[in-house]
Amino acid sequence: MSGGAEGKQIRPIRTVVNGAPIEGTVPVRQSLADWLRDGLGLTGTHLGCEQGVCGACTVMVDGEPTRSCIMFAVQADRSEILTIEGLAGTGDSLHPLQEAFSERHGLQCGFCTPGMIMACLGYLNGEGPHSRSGLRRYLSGNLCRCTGYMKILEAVEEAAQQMGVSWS
Amino acid sequence: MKAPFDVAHIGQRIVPRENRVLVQGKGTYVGDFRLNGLLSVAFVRSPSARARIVSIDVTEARSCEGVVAVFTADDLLGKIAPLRLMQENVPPGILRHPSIQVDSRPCNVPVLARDEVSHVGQGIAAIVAVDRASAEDAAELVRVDLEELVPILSADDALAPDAPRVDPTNADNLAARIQATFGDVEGAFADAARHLTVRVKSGRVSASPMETRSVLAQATKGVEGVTVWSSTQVPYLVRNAIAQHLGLREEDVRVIAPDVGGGFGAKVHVYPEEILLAFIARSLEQPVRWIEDRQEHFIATAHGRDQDHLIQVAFEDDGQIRGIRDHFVQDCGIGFPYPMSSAYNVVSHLQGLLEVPSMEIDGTCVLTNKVVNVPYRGSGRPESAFTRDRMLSRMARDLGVGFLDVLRRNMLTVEQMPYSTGVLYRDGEQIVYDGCDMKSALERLQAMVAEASVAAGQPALDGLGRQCLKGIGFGTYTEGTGVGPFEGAVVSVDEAGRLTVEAGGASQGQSHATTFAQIVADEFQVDPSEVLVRSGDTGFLRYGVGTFASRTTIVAGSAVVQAARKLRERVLNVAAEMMEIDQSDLLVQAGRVSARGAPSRSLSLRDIFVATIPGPRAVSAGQDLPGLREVSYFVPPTVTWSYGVVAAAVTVDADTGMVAVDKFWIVHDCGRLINPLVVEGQVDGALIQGLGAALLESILYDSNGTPLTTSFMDYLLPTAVESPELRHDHLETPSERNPLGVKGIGESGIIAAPSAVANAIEAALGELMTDPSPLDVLPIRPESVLASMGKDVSRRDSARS
Repeated sequence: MSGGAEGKQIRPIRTVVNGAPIEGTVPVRQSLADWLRDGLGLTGTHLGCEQGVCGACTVMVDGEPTRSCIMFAVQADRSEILTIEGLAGTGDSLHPLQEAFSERHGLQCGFCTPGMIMACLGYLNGEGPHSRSGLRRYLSGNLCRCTGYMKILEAVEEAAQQMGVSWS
Repeated sequence: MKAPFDVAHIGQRIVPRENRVLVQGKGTYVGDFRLNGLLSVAFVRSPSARARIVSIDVTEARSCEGVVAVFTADDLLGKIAPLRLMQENVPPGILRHPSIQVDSRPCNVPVLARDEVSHVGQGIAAIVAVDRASAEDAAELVRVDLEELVPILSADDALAPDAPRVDPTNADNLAARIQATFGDVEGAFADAARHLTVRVKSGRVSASPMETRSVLAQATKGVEGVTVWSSTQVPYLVRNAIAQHLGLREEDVRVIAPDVGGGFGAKVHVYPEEILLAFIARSLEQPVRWIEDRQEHFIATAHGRDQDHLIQVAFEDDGQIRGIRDHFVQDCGIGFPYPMSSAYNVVSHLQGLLEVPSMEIDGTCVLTNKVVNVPYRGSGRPESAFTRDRMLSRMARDLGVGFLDVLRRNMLTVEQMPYSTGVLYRDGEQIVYDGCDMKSALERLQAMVAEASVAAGQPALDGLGRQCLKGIGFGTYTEGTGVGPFEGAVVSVDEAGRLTVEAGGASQGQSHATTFAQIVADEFQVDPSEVLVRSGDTGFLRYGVGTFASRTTIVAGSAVVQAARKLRERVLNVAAEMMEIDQSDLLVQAGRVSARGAPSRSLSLRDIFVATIPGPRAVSAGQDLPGLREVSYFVPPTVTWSYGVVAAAVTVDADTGMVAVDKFWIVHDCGRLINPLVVEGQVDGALIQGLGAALLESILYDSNGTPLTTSFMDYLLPTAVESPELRHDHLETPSERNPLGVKGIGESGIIAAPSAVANAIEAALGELMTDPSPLDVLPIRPESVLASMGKDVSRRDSARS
């Protein structure tokens, strides 16, 4: 059951989103994804299933790839959040993962891409050893219907090289 | 082919311009638009497969906080007619043909259900509220009293005498019947030394684009018409349907497909929500948006496939095919908007690149209480290819030879090209294969496969002591691509001298903007990055269709090149007058027109544009017709034929029946490649969708017609784990049926993947396989593999597909 007065309670929230401190209030039942998209206008985070399965909504919460569709915004209180919009920093520069996805054509429709890139970031930031088979397993929670994954895997390997992440 | 210009951008691996935007999350999908006063719509949907609606009580919902309006069918009475789904015409060539009969019925789908609901997921009421959560809260408060009726869930149910009607306007639950006979089938079956019969089924699947459907509609008080943003493949069809149902002029309805997160056929037809949202926006004079959630997508967005074939073949002891009879049944759910694409495609693709002297096809397409059936990527071709290749595999078994032996025995050769099959395509034209060289494709594929040292059929134990069997299998396909009727393009020079393309069709990730820019860049000798491209908006061009059936590069791309050539002519014409030089002495290059041999004498495109605006500075060529803007429509003579061969290497766990695809190889011919990077992407993605269909994906309903697969936990898409390494090679036989020499590629990869996987499983099982028939049903589940080895498997009988 949704609805009712409890659902509409408002709580304060204090977070850092893409490096900027954000203070505000959120309905307690609002998902982190909805808050990012509707509250902050960060529409780069996409909702593919809202069931926590497809991974399109993946963002970094305190450095961990997290499904923002099944986390409440209030749970992100006092957390640091990174979305696709904050990945590259300022200007028109791209993060090595974004650059490699683009150059290697690791995307087509682009809908799963922001979540996919955040998940890949989680993999590259994590402890090694890093390998193609390890990456495949790590990405098993991020669905892409366009690419068949080959060019995504190639892109991540290229980004790993750029980022100085060892690959076996 | 000789390049007509100094620098060719066609054929280059150019990184799609779309990519840089999308990797930054800067795409704009329908859900991303922010409009003042935007309201949200949520639906109350039927929980029953078939029931009489006794009452709908929206009182409580209407008084809910944040709710602006509630609509039920009663509110639409006399305002919106039921959506008429029959959108595809049967061309005169087919209607006139003596041995083809097509009985194709229109199908009326209510925009909101009124007297009866006819599938789980059908819309009953629409709630409009200030935000989505409020709308969804209120939707739960709508009381719908239903009297359950017995649902029709199979062809047998639908065709039974006295079966109740799925659609009250359709007396016999028939969506379409397609019968076609070519050559002397009776004679072939009477004379041939051997016959065999195989039952082959391609199950019901969901195209499952990662972005669900969504619609945003805006109407402004005092302004005629409505603007609709929809996550659709067919903006023009949506526009026409909205105009027709709301009584508007087509030109007063503008439909925009912005960034669309995949389509694959799921977004190829007009949906009730598109009509309804346009109606609501006009009623309330406020913008409204509906974003489908994934559960809704599984129960309210069209499915595909669901064909059950009984194929018989008459052949000789040497393997030569004499005749084929294929009777199939397609489960269409409550509507079948594309009978020619979904079902007639069997007539035009079953033969593939085989020489088949006689053929009889009889397809019965029935209505059931399930979701609408539309052409999912490949549409009739994967079903045909799987049916044909299972038949070939069974012939091989019967003759004690290999699949490839039977294939080669019957395969058409390049020397026979162009080859007329005697069959008509769905556009009513004779099928004439253009430049298909399957033998070379197969040789190249075998060379690639041979390089990979896979020990086929050699059992080995894995680390856990399980018996792992390895095998390689092949599949084949043909694909008529670039079907009409037409698509258009405008190429222009704007006030700043920039080249701009406005094209019909719409993109769902196919990088069309990059492709179109490459085409124009070659005509004007500029860098593709200097060409602006816009598409997916009915506001640009009066007429158009959409993106499906591997057609956009061929049909819209040809319109682009035609328009670019017309514009180039006009630019030269104006420049010649301005410079007082003969046109033949002018060059168009790098955004300028210059005198041959005297590059200092030149004009920019901007200068030329200015001279075409009527007034004191205009030259005579500009006085009658302002600006530099040329429109062209391309009407293809008929389709052009892509074809190819796929191989799969699999590992089968003999104890559990689990199949892993270790590798796919494909050799295909899509004519001239405009952008190899984009082509590879299309092939890769389609192959893996084919893997999903082969092993994983299946829409299931229980015996009450309740869908059992309503999330990606139940409906399994291939992940990075199941998706193997892919290798491809291209043959490049330019098409003579369009000015670009291209053939379609979007669907190619998906068609033969299931055949290759099934044959690979057979190869892996070898002598262990006692009954191949469980492998004739897609998806091939672990229990199917065990059953094919004669192992007793208890199946869940609650699930029926």
